[in-house]
Amino acid sequence: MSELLKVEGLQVYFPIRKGILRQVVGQVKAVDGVNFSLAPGRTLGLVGESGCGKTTIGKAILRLTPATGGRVLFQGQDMLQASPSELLNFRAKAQIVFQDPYSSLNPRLDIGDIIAEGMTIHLKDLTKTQRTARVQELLETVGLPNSASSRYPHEFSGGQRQRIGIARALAVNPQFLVCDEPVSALDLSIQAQVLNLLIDLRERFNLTLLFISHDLSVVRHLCDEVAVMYLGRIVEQAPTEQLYRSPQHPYTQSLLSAIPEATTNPQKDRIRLTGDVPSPINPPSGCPFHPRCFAATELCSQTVPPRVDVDPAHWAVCHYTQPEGVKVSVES
Amino acid sequence: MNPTVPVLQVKHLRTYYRTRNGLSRAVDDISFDLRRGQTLALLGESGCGKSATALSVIRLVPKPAGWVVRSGDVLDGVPVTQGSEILFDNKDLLALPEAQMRPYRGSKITMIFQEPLTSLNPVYTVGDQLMEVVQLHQGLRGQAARQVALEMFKKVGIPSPEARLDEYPHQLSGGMRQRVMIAIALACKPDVLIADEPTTALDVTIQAQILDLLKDLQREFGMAVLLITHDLGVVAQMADEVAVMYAGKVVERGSVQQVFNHSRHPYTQGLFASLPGRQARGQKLCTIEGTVPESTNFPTGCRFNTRCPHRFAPCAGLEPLLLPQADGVQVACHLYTGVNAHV
Repeated sequence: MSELLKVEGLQVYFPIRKGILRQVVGQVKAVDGVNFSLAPGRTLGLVGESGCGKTTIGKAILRLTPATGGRVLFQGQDMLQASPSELLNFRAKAQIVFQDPYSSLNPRLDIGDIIAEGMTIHLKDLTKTQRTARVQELLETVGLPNSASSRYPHEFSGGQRQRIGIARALAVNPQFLVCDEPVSALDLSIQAQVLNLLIDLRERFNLTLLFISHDLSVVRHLCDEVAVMYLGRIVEQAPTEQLYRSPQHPYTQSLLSAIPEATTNPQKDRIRLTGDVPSPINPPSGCPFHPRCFAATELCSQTVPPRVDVDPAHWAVCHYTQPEGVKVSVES
Repeated sequence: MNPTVPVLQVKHLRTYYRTRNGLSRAVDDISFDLRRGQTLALLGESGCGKSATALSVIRLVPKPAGWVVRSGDVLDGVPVTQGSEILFDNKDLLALPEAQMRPYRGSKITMIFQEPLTSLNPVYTVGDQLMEVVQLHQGLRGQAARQVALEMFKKVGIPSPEARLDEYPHQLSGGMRQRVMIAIALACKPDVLIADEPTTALDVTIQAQILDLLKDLQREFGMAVLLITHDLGVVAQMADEVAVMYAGKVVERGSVQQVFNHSRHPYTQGLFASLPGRQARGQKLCTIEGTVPESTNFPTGCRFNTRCPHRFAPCAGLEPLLLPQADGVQVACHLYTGVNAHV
């Protein structure tokens, strides 16, 4: 399987500065050694709680945030080492849809200009007429009226703005799309509309998606594979159905059990996680999840757990994950 | 207090706002009761009027743009005959002068807000903010007030409560801030707690902790809870009764069992159908066409009619009333009112 995108040992550290001289006194390890790969046309979901580094990964891949270390191979070429012209070329192939449809559109540009902006850089051969025609075509693709092109962002609702953000990303014919929480600011009925649009477009343009979300039910619906993050690392990755059917890492198990279900059936026995997500400035020793883990032992606080392959496509980073897929007891 | 008697009754509540685009009918004639130890959820999408309802009950509707319509008010040149009433202790809270409302607000009726960072004062310690409530409503001072504050912090599960009392909101995590909010709201043992999207800003594992906490405290204190949320899962887990709101109206109301297992209003059905997870992975989700109408310009007749898949002749002209069905569920939809298709 040849991959479109391969991320190896990606690290993003932010310096902590203090005092008048702004001396560096420490580091926030926002992303700390992340590996994954994505085949063309596939969708990988990246889930985790706020502050786990999922957005930073998306931005670091597109070089919107500088990475500290690691490699981001796009079609075999390391984009972290790319020259300015290679980078420009890369950005025509890789685009992003942001979370907040309110702050990610320039309020002073009309929708036509917002969508056409990327084309003026990446599709220079187009004449003005061709660009306008393409804007119309894109508006139709995302389900907005033609008249939208001469209007401004504030005239649109959240769901419509997210459609504009998607049209803008599609304008330069990308192969790869980072979707950073594209529906979490939207109401349920609007969320379903935008998800349907993404499903449609993915098929139509054979897009490869990195779908970042904290909403596990949305991820389950949309993604082929899911990676669960905790404190800057991926703790478990598996094909979607397998992850939801037999989660191996205690954190994944707790996340899945914490979602309130919209049914009146008696709720399953919940795993109650105590405490908050620790600070990435000063992460716990050993397994970073051990202070909140219901199955933690002495070993967990001392030694960083290894990656255990449950099967070729499913792995977890936990001392107590069994290679042959024996489940850690949840009913404790 | 007798548990079958409602502790709070809201009757024909209408909350309107004057906006640049005209009159906004944010809440338009809704009624409900709250009972001790019970939770009523107001469920709806943004702009449906659920938060305006909460603010109306506690009399915090921003003036002068917004007001609660009362008997005698003149609307479109016509005096209102059936005005809003909010009955608590056999008193209409809307009729009280502001000074007499104060013993109720923050003491007998309290509220927790969605965003705990913006609803706590950044320049006072969280302990001071809790003690302020105790001083104001219970007249306790100094060590006595601090003792109550400490007790409450323990009750809401704040670790090392003694030290936390002297910290400022920015030093606490989102989950801890929401615990502080809950402690403040429950310090005076209220009869009614209004929780406006209490967990929307929190991560799922923290949300689970806060919801568990609210349930435990309700069992202990026995207050009635008005839970405002857009999350169907939260309703299923927390509420006894649910009222589904759309465009300023309650469109369906009943026990959670009834509404979740056998929803009748096309809007409620649409909400459930658009939940991810009901279709096979990668398949299209069911959607409700269109968007929520502007509150200054609701469609005539049934306000949902422009988006409704079951629309028929009377829907655009005649507003459906919220009527009880055989099993007690109330629905505002012509499919169930027996209106003839040829009206």
